Amino acid sequence: MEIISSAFDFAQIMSSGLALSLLRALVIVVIGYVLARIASLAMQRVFKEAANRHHALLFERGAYYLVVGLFVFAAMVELGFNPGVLLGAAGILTIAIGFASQTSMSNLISGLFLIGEQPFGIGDLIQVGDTIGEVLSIDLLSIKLRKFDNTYVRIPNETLLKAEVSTFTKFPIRRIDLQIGVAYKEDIAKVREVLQETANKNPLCLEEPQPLFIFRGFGDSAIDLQFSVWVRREEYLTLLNNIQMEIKVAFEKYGIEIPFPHRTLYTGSVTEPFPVTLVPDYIKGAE
Amino acid sequence: MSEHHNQRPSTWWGQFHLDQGQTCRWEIGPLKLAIHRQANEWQLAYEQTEVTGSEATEWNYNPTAPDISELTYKNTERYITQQPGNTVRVMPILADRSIITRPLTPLYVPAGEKMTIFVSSPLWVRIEVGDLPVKLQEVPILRPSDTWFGPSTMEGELCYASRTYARLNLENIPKRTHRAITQIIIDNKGVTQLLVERLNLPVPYLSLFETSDGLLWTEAVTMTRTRDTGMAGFEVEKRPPIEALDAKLVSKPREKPGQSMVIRAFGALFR
Repeated sequence: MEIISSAFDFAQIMSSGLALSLLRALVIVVIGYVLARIASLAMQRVFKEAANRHHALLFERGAYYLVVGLFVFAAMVELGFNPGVLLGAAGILTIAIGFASQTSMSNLISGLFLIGEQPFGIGDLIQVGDTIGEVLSIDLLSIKLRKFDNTYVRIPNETLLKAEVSTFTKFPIRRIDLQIGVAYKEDIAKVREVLQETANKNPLCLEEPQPLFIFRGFGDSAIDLQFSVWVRREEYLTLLNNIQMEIKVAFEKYGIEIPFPHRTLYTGSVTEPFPVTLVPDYIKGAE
Repeated sequence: MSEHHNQRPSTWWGQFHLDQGQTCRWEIGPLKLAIHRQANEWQLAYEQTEVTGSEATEWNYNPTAPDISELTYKNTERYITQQPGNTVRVMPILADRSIITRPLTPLYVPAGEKMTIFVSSPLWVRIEVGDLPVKLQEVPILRPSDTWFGPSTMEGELCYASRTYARLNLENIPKRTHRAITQIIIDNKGVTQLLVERLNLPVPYLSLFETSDGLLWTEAVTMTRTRDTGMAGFEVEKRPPIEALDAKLVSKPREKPGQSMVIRAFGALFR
């Protein structure tokens, strides 16, 4: 008896509009899913060569979710939901989610801007705040860096958007600024010549742009000079080490003094020299 | 290409034979190079000496050098290979980047005029061993200084700076077996006069030829400036110029030159 009754119920449901619309809604969702896959594949193909990996991924995902969203919405309408109410509910839900995931959303949107702006790419060497590292990945919420001591650092995109970011590997060549102090007695023209010769001798030091020589001023205990040499960015560290060692050797060879800080004591008025008395140890011991 | 046995060869490059345990030594300009053969193993030792005024030292070949372990060169390398054969090919090859040369004084080429200039480029030594052969290493005879060629520090090309000047007469080019001579014809078809302060020669597109007097040449090249910029059409001739009439091909270019290439050929100094 029960079986007959349930069969009757089923037939009733089948004959009603509900089953039909359920079926229709299901078909719409399936079609939507298939179309979304096709759209995402198409995007993948279009952006394969044109854009970088992140742009491609962004468009791929965007197309997928847009198509799926539209079809799910159509399916809901088919099931008899009022589109106005649906949109209203979606609005309230968005606000609720928005409040709850403020940080994530902020990072997400910052991520989109970062991807659009492209201040650096994967493999670049960047500095954010005090952190210097190689970019491992740029994701929607954060970027990942590898510091030189092999630490894995995650930096939220929001920080990157607000902070000053230096990219060291944007251009093929870099400049090394050396701050050099030489004693006041030195002939600066000669010092300049020695520095230039040292730079010329090192093959890693670029001949053009020419090394830069700046007389920075009269310091406390030395004449402050700046000597800037250009180098291909891969050789930055090698040249930084080599050139300073070579400059030191050259200065020693030509007798150019790199002074230590000096202090001159002066007693205030037109003065006699300080009287200096040597006190032998045995007298001190007697006291 | 000549094949050498233990007598002094006519050129420092070519094909040489090394018995097991034998060490051969070359002195090519400022480069000192030693190659030693063991069973399934080749050893290289080399160093570049300081360049002084007497850079003009020619070359030397010594097949009965002391054992490689007694040499104190800066670089020593060991290569393990199963390649059979006792031959080693020591070949000259041009640089893997463009060479920047300056004329002794900046030159002006008026609009519509042509000029011929000679430059000499530094060379690398490519060492290949065995019957196949296997490339072991490329050693610069004299490591040229790096330089940057472009309109700004952001845009341009990494090149090598030549230590010698471009010359208007071939006689002024020092005749050295460890450098290659190129004849460049600069054709100014622009409206304004052209100032040649720095000249970019893309040597990776050039081959090397040897003449009977033991010198190395590249093909002659033509740089045609059509617009009033530093860019020029770059054309590689089939052969070296008439001055190297009996030239024979020694090594092929690193990169195949294109049909119609436009390069940044002339650069003024920038700060």
